[in-house]
Amino acid sequence: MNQAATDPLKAATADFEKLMQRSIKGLNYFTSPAPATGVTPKDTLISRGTMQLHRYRPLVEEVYRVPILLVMATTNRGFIFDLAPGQSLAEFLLKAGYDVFMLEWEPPRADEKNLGMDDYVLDFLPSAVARVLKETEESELSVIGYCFGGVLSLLWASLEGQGVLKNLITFTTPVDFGKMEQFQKWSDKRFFDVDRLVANFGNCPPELLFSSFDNLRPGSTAAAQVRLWDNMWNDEFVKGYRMMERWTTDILPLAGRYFAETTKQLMWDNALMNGTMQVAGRKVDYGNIKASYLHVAAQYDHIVPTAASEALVGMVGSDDKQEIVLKGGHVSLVAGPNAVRRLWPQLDEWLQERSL
Amino acid sequence: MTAGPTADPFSFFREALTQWEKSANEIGTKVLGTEKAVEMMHKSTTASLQMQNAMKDGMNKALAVANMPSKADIDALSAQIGTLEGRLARIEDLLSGTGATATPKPKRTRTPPEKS
Repeated sequence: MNQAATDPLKAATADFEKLMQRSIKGLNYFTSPAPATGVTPKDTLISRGTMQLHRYRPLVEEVYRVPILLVMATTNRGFIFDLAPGQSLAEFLLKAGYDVFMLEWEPPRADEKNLGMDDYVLDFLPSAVARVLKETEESELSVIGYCFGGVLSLLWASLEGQGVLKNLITFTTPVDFGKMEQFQKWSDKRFFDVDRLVANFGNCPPELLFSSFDNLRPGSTAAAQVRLWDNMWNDEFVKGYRMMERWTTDILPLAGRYFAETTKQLMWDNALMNGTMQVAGRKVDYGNIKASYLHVAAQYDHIVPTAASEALVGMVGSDDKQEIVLKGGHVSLVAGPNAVRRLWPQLDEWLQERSL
Repeated sequence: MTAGPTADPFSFFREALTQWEKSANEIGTKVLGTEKAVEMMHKSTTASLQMQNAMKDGMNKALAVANMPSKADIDALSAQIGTLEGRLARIEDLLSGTGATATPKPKRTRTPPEKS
């Protein structure tokens, strides 16, 4: 037990110092720039409209044979994989000896409103995979998809992944959209005219998506602000808060047709669970996926509850497949101090033997 | 082990804040999940869309009178630039041979560390 905890005078002094620091650092908060994110060196290999493929520069001289492609969700920026030195999944994987690529998204332009699920699954993903294989002169790769990036990865894997996909990993990836109860209520087709929204806006506005995510926990934004002020004396807390806040508020618009298709096929028809999912007229069957498969769910995920993803492993056709549920939420599973301790070492251990 | 005595006047409020957050989230999600709330939410979105449409029509007419390009015209230009960008990228790939970059090529022979 530290001395301050036993000595009331010292405890009071420490608390008073914190009070002073809150005021001083509170002023700095508003005048200093946000901490830099996504700083691990990388080269952009493809920049085609919304599609961005990067290669992180290797940090070791000898890497595992099988390269890794990280696939980001279409709603958010990819820097969640590369928050800050020491808190970057990309940096962790590079240091552990992997050759790492990332597929992320720029906000779709107005003229990209007609991009659909087929463009993402049968054009962007295959283009990225082909480029990764060309760059590495390898014939197969591992794909890691986060949230909806996981859905896209699974769809691609079931339709086009045979022969090139060695390992597939998905984080917090839904398959039973009927179990995403709050999103189900909000997208009730009696009240939500998705075609009209898309006809008016072209692309789905990010404000609409942000308010949907925010309304899942209506009290948490205000509580987080109070906690920030309370911890203003703690530089590490403030840095972490600012990086996460920047990521969670920087929501991307979604291409109009893609958003409408997602709403209709997945939210309304729950097509993946009902076995009626199609992409460009091709029937999707996760049973076609034979690569080694790992799904990681977060125990306290409020966006994709574990019930929405628990059917995944059973649906995938691989012999080598596994689901693990780790403590944490939708974001803290992949980034931040909890991820460093929990997910990343397990991910490395799972990948090592399968990346030879 | 319990914490020692503290003069921090905010320790009580921290616990209260956690309780408040929990209750606000529970009540908030219940309220926002009711049919009435969902209906209201979408009605207000629809109303805002109608207003935006009316404004867009008015603005397009005004721009046409002033011989200025509309958003749709700019979008069309942007689409053309996007097409050119794609073509340029493909030409760059062809010119650079395989399309591979000059990133250092590490040996691909790594094996897992020995388990103790």
